[in-house]
Amino acid sequence: MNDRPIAIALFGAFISLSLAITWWAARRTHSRREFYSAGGELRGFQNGLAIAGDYTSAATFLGVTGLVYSSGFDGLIYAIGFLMAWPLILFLIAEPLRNLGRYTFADVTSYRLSALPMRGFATISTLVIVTCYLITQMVAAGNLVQTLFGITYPLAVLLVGVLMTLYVAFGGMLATTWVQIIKAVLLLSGTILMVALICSRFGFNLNSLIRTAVVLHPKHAAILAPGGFIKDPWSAVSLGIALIFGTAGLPHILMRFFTVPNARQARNSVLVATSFIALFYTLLFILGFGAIAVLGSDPGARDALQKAGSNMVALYLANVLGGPVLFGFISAVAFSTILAVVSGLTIAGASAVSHDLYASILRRGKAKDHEEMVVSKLAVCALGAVSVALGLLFEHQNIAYMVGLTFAVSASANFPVILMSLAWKGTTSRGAVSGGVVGLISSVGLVILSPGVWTSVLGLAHAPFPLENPAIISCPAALLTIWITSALDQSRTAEKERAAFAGQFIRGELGINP
Amino acid sequence: MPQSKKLGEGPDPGRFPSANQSGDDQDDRDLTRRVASHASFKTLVRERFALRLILSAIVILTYFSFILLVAFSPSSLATPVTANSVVSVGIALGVGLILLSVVLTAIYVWRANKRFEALTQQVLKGINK
Repeated sequence: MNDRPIAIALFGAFISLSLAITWWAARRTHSRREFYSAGGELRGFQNGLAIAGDYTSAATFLGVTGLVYSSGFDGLIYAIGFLMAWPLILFLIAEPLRNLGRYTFADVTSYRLSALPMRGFATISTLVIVTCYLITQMVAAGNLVQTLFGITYPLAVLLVGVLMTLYVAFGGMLATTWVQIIKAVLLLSGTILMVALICSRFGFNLNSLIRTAVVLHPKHAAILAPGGFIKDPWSAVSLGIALIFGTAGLPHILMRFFTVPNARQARNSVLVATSFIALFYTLLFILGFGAIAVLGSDPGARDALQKAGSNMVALYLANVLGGPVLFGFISAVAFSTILAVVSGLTIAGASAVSHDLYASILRRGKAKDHEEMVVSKLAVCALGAVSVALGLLFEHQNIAYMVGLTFAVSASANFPVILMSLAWKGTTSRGAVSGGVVGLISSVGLVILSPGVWTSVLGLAHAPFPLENPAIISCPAALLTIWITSALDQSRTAEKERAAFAGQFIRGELGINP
Repeated sequence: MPQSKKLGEGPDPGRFPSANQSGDDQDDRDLTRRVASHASFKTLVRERFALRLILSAIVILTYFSFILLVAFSPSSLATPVTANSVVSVGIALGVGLILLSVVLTAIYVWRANKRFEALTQQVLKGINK
């Protein structure tokens, strides 16, 4: 494409702006409280936008649009699962989480349970989730930046790795938050603009837009109903469990709740985030149908897309709708989207290492503020290096299973532990850790035995586990293990932990902050 | 000890070491009991628990009904909403669920910011008198 100069200029503008923010944020980040949680003083509205910016990845923006373009209705199934997780987070965990925690979700699970096992488990599960998610994002970023700006894949991955390391290591949560807020605003305005341009071509009549799409799409009316995306009922339910409960266990999402001062602002953030994400997914759906209707009548674009893959739908559409300027703008938006998400993941991973592993386990809570900050920054650099290395390693791998794996681990390892430690008095450390470990091992193990890895990656014949997603087994297995092990736990510690529930419950409900 | 402990003076969340000592501390046990038996606290817990339960049940039931419809009866989602409409039942349901998520979230936040916040303040005032 000969329209790269505009894309590169806009992309340069975004990088300069985000680095300026990092410089500004670095001067305001002196303590670990500022580093991990931006001082805990964000408004609910700001945090809501940042959550939306953290949650809507380039994979959703490009992926869901591409999925709607290629199979219509099926794109909606993913979008609804991702969205309906949000009201559940609010009803089940958001308020006590805010009231009991400080920097990481392990603060909450170890509030009355033993610190060493709970934080040790949280460190491992956080790093597994963050690493898997980072691999997905880095590979997507490498391919995207390579296509958009004409640089090589390794250079693209390195660029993303260096930028995210700079943001997080110097600017901490404050810089990460503002990168996410700006990205959320850019992403939504870019999408609104494209949807407006599409609708103007169809006289702002959605009926005529859908009708044109049905006529032009090779599958015709089949795009208005579920298609081949859901292969069998059990896979559908399993994917549903992973999507709706997985979000409530993602460490980078949970961490965002500690940036607001109280439960009221935490609630407001969820409302802002849910509204934003709902609007965004609705627009993506129109965008996908618009892509069918607009690009479908253009054989040149259709053939080019066949080669480039469905992830490029949104970008081709931008080119057709608004020429090189809109193409450049949407490219820069996609790039900012990647940076915002990887930064959120990096700070969550780094704080698990510095706050849970180093300060709480290795130093038993005696680490000084600045020591913990130094470890955190080192962890950020290490995570940056690891994600670049993994991005390079996985370039030619089939990683289609990776997002499903991330959500399955989150729904099976973190979510049950958090929910049970908050909601059930009987939960003990022994129960929580054994349940979490069962969830972690069974979800990872079953994914390896599933067709997505066994057949597609390892090239072995018949996959021992038939479903693509393990959550239908691993999530209940974890909950059940927590329940049984806790109920059988007769130790002295267990008694103390049950007795401490009343105090935890009151604090979780009333939210008295020191 | 001249005065019994007040709410808000508890140890920081996430403090170290984590095993909660409140069960061993007479003041803390006393405070916990006073809050737990406070009438407004009981009302708060009861009403909030009921609302959380109802709204979560709505989310889980509607979501998994949708997923089961997709899985077991895709053809029923393909039928048009009205005879001469291009919008299918599936798309209408999907958009309905998206709206439902926002509405349920808004209901909870509205209720919590009005009623639950007021009850919380009542408890805090009553205990710290």
